[in-house]
Order: sequence, then C-alpha cells, then structure tokens
Amino acid sequence: MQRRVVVTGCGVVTAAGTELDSFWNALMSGTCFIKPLRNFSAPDLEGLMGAEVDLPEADDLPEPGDHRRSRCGQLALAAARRALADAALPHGSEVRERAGVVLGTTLGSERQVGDLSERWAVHGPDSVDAGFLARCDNHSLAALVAERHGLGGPLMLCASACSSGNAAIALAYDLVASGVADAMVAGGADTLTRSIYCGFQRMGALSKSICRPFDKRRDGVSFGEGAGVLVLESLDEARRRGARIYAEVAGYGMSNDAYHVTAPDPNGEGFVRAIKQALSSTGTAPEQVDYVSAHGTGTQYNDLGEARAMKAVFGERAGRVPISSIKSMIGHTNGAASAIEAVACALAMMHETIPPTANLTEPDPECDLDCVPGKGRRARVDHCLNLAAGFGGFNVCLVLRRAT
Amino acid sequence: MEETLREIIARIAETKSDFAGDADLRDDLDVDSHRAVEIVFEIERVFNVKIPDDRFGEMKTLNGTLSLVRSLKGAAAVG
Amino acid sequence: MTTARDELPSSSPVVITGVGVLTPLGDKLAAVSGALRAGRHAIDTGADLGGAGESRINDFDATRYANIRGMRIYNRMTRLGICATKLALLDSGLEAAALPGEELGLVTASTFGHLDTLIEYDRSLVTAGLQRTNPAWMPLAIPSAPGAVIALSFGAKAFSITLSDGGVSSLDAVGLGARLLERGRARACIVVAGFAICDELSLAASRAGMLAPAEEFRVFDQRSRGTAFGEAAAAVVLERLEDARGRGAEPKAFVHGYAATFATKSSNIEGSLHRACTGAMRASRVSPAQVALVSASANGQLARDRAEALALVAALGETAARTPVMAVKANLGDTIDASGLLQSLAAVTALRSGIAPPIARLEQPQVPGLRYLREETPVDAGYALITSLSLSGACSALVLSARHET
Repeated sequence: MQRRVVVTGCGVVTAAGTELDSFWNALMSGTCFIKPLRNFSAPDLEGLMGAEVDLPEADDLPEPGDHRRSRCGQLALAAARRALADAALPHGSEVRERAGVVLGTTLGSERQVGDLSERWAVHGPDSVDAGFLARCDNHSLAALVAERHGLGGPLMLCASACSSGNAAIALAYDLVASGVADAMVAGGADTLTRSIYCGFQRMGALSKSICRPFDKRRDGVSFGEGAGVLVLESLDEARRRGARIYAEVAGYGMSNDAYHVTAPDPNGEGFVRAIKQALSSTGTAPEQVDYVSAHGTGTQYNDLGEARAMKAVFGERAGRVPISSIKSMIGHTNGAASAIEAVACALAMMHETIPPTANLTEPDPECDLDCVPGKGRRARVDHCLNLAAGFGGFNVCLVLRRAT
Repeated sequence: MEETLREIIARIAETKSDFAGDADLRDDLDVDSHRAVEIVFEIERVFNVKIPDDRFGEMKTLNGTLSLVRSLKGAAAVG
Repeated sequence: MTTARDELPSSSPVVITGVGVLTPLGDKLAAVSGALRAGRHAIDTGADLGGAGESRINDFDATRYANIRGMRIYNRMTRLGICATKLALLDSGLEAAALPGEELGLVTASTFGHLDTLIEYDRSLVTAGLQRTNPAWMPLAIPSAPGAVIALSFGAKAFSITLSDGGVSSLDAVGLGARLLERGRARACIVVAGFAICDELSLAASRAGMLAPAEEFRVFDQRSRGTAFGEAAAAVVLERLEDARGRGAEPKAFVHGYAATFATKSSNIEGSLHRACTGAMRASRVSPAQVALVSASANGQLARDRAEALALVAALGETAARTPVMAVKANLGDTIDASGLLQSLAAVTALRSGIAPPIARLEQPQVPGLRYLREETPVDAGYALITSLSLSGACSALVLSARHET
C-alpha cells in the first residue's frame, strides 16, 4: 500500500538568489546570471563564464577543523537549512528519527582532489593528510545535513551525474511512499570544478559565452554552482500537522540509455521511455501536462534529442506544451540542477507562473516547441514534468501535480 | 608514420590492425566520440602536433588521418 | 526510541538468483567460505603504510572473466565490478533467458570507485596541462562512472543508479534494488559493489591512525588497534520470486526486510544500529529468536565494534547469548562498499551448508553477551541478520534467508 507524498518545504542557493522569492522573481524576469567567473579558475582556460553563488562566508560552513569543510558541503547545508525552515518540520525525535536525507551530486568532493593535486606537485605523498579520506567520502555531504538537523532516518548519496537531483528525489519519494521513512530531505548540490570545465572544453561541449538552450546558435553548456533541496512527507502527516503543501510528488519514470559513456542516445529512445513510464505509472495523460522543466543544457545534441522526445510523447500537441530550461539563467548546476528545477516546478504551481528560457532569440526550427522565450508568463499548472538526463544516459522524469 | 597511426587507432578501437586504409572509423571500426577524443589526444601526443577543431572532419579514415598529420608536420617543418 | 508505525512489509519476495565475487580469498563463493571456515585471512603488510595491514587481490586479470570492449581504459574497481557482474549473470542463467535490456536494472554501490581516475586526471591537469591530459579520462573521473560503464557493458536499460554510501552502500543497494523490483521498475536488477585499494586513501587512513599493524588486525577484540582495507567486488542478480521460478531459476537466497538509520552523533551509533536491526527484523516479520545467524560489520575500529556489539545485544534481547555471530572483515579486511554484500553472501552460504565460520584471530571480545564464533559451528536454518556501518555514521541492516521461510 503506497502512501501519497507531498512537498512541504523548498530551499535553493543559486546565482539567481538564495531565497525563494528573490529566486523566483529573478527567474521570471528572464535575467541571465552567467557571467565571467570571479572566484574560480581552471588551468589553461581563460575567459571562463559561469554562475556563482553569493553566500556569506560564514554561512552554513561546517565547523573549522571539520575535515568535511567544503564549498559543496556549504551549498548543501545552506539549501537544506532553508528547506527545513520552510517546511517547519517538527523538532521532536519521534519525527526526526524517521526522517532521512538523500542528496545527489555529480562531482561532490572533486575540489578536495584538486587541492591535493596542487600540493602533490610540490610535496608528493606527504601532502596526503589525515582528513583526505573523510573529505573524499561524498556520503558526508548528506551526513552533514543529517547531523546539523538531527535526522536519524535513511542516509543516501546518489551519484548519477546530471540526473542525480531527480534520482535523489525519486529515491526519497519511494522511501516515504513505502513507509521506510516518514519524511525525507531530498535534493542535490554541486560547485564549479576544474575537471568539469576542462573536460567539457576538451569535448567541445563548453559554450564559448553563455548557453542558449533551444536556440539555433547554441554552442554548449554553461556551468553554475548551487543546491536545491525539498522536504517530502506523507500527505496524511503533512495534513495532520497543518503543513503548507506545495505540490504532490506523483511519481517518476526512469530509464538508462546504455548507449555511450557521455553522449545520449541520438534517437532519444531512453528519454522517451522515462517520460512515458512517468506518465503511465502516475496515471497522468499527456494532455494533462501543463509545463515541462527541460534538461535543456544548450548542447546541439541534448536539446535536439529533447525536442524529439517531446514530439514523440506529446504528438501534435507538443508545440503547445510550455517547456523551458532555467539552466539558461543559473547555468548547469550538475547534481543540483534537477533538484533546483523540481523546486522551480513547485513554485510554478504555487505562483501560477512558469519560468522562461533566457537567451533564446533565434529559435532552432528543429526545436519548434513553446520554449517560453524571454520572460516568464502566467499559467495555471496542475501537472508538470521535470526532466533530467545524466552522463551514461540515466534519465529520470519526475511528475509533480497539484495536491488535492 | 602509417604504421604508428594504424597501431594507435587499432589499440583504441580495440580491433585488429589490418583494417583497410579507407575503412570508416566511426561506421566500420565503431569508434565513438569517447574513443575519438582519445585517438586525437594520442596522435597529438605521439606526433607532437595540434589538430585544429575544424579539421577533425578529415579524420574519417586512416588514409585521411595520415594526410592530415603529414600536412600538419609538413606545415610545422616549414613554418 | 522507535515508533509504533511499522515499515510496510514487502509485497512479494525478492530473491537472489546469481552471485559473483572477486576477493583476496578467491573468486568462487565456495572457496571463500572454505577459507573463512578454516580461519584463513588475506591480510598482508601494505607498502609504505608504516606496517599497517591491507588485503589485496593478487594477480587480478580482468580478461580471464570478461571480454568487454573499453575495459583497457577502465580503472581497477570498474574492472572488478564488470567481472563480478559477469560472474553473477552467468551464475543466474539470466543471459540465456534473453531478457530485454529495458527489463534489466543496475544499482552500483561505489563511493571511491572513480577516485584513482579522478586523482590521475586532475594531477595531470596540474602538472602536464590541459592539452597534454587525456580527455577520455574525464567522464570516468566522476562517482557515477563505474556504474555507468557497467550498465553500458551489460545493456542495463531500466535504470542505473549509483549509491555512494560508504560502508553501508551494498546493503542500501540491495534494499533499493529490491524496492525497485517490487515497484515493477524492472524484471531483474543487478546489484554490484566494489572497492579497490587507493594509495592516497590508505595513506590518509594511516595518518589518521585508523589502521592496525598487519599482524595485530583483529575485530570485536579488546586489543583491536584499528582496521585494514581490503579490496573486492561482489555482484548479485535480484528477481521477484515468481519471475525467477517462471524461467526455471532456483533462488539462492531470499531478501527480506531492510532498514537504514543515521547516528547524528558518534555517541549514538549503538542506538542507531539498534534501531536499524529492529527495523529490519520488523519489516521481515521476524523475531530475534528466529535469527539463526548474525553477519556483523566489525572492522577493528574499537569504538565502532563496541557500539555494534552493544546494539546487537540489545536487538537480540534474550537470544543474544546463543545467536552465532560471524564477522568476515577479520579475514577479508574492510572492503567498504562491497562489505555488506560479502557479509550477506558468506552468511547465506553458512545457512545453506549449516556451518558458520569462526571470527578469525578473536581472543578477548570487548563486549560480553554475544556468541562470537571461535570455531566452525553448526547453525540452524532460518534468517541471517546482516549489519553495516559507514565511516560517515550511517547504519543499515538487512535480513536474508537461504530458503523460502514463511
């Protein structure tokens, strides 16, 4: 017997803002926050652009001396604190012992390795310190959140590249639906890293300026850092304690391309399968979908594949289903991306407005969909889909619907 | 040079080295984009050349790759 | 304090139909179990670790097990995982069943499996520069890479999820795989777990004082001076019982309840593991008296071993003094992500054969009240309780049986 699951709290830290209202207003205005990087650089790459988060230095960092002190951890803690405050999850141990954490990340502790490489070049093996093991243990990203908030339920770290956020939410949904946990803090976090900038540049997938999802001139990805976290609870429990309910997590669909280590399957079969499974497993008809939050990275092949998938799923109606990519504004935040996008879906339902795809001035005729170019618009959203696809082809499609 | 190029491609494509000079790397030897970047990297490293992005299209076959590398080495020797 | 609300029981039994292991004590479960029963261990002195012990697989040649295109560039943990998966698929007979890829899912338990590739890639960026660094490494340098590669190698198209939960990864992965099967997300799910020794991690652990001298490595013992890393990969094929029977496959083990908790302070590991054990037993509808065998996580870290022993005493209650307890890390070292699965498989083998192995080198247990096995011991048929702890403070527990217990 599956319980119904709802979202009772949201928290984001992004380049577009670290509070829900300012984040939402910024997105709706279609402002692009991808700029020349101030606080980060990568060797041999000049003129890098990205979306950095403005977070007060002392905000949410683990204690000095805590081996697990990291930017990625700080982002996760910042978003989780906001989400839990937003949900006003009761503090009693009978609730917190049965509340767990699932976070997703693409790169996690990569910067710790980066620091090691710098030191190794000078000091060799002597540069490995006692804390290196704890810092490389990505599980500690979730543990930091659970410790800070006294959450004693299941603790998981889900790594599935760029679909990690959705995957974490899907796992959390299952845990609450099946009764293994009563509440779950679910989301994703990632910061900017040397290896991803260098790697994407060498693959020819890094935009030379800013990403332009669905635009004819799109030339690749722009990265951002960030974290997005949701609090999921059973519907009954949320009602019983009078929690504010953003939306119901109706369920999800999953598939794996198993096609290539980085490139998605060009005929989009896996992506389509994930979306169709999401619809059928949640009893959602394609006609009911009011908004789709795209994966929309801004590479030639991703956006084309996504457009094809939309047509395969929605048929003739495809051109009338609004689909936008907020990566156009906050960059591709990797493991955080689909979690932040899930928050955007929840906010879309609450505010009855949908965010735009920014930087879209010359639509690609092959992506002839309603990509909500420029500014956001008013729209009643009762059902929406959140799409994510990861390296290696793990696709997760989340279905959110208005809670009744 | 041909033998070295052949060995590099065969090793990375994980195929026998007696493939035809005009065999298509992608369609006949199953060289996907992940292997392709590795091949480019190896060639650049071994022959000390830099293959410009806009000339990747000349690397569809061993023969094409051979001409490309020769022209890059030749240009380097001259310029 | 546990609540009155129960974890909802699984609706249909999930079973293990195939097994593959690659360990320092062998690549066949029977051989490994034989070594455990004889009290043999694979702990050697590591190089440059100041005398600390570790357990490595000698002469591992991936091509002996699998001929997967692309393997030449994959790192050790990935190769171990590919080979263990191949062995499990062969053992299950699933390849012959010609299951469509869309019906096959994969859950990978790997926290550090990508790390040596990331270290090598990043080091090269710093020392040799971007242009002289092999770009093919980057996609393999992220935590999801080993799983993505394994899924690609075996055409797992239903889903491919990687859990990086440290020492509790493989129990969490089995729990996840079982839940996804119950939800109808696939007809079969491979769960693969692996850990390969990474020099930088070992060095860090040594400097943190975590490792025991090789000849003094022991678990549950008052004189334990630390742990020892071991490398291994293990894989199982999970299916719903009716699907397994439908294709004529004989279940090798039955997966019952699972529970996972987190110790918000290091001082409450005992309480959290206790909750996980009682949660797993409750989800299995099993009483402590029905637990025939405990396959513990003890790894030589004094405080953790102590907390685990106390948690087991509390969870088993009246039967604590007579329930056999085995602990395979004493023989294999701590194989982190693979450990829970290895503990599970060793326990199932013990239940099937009716004989459980002793805890190697245990002389003076830290915590009284448990029946630590000191020699090969007959065990009844019934349920095995498997416990896992992670360095990050998580506790997971799983209940298995060798036969269809009702």
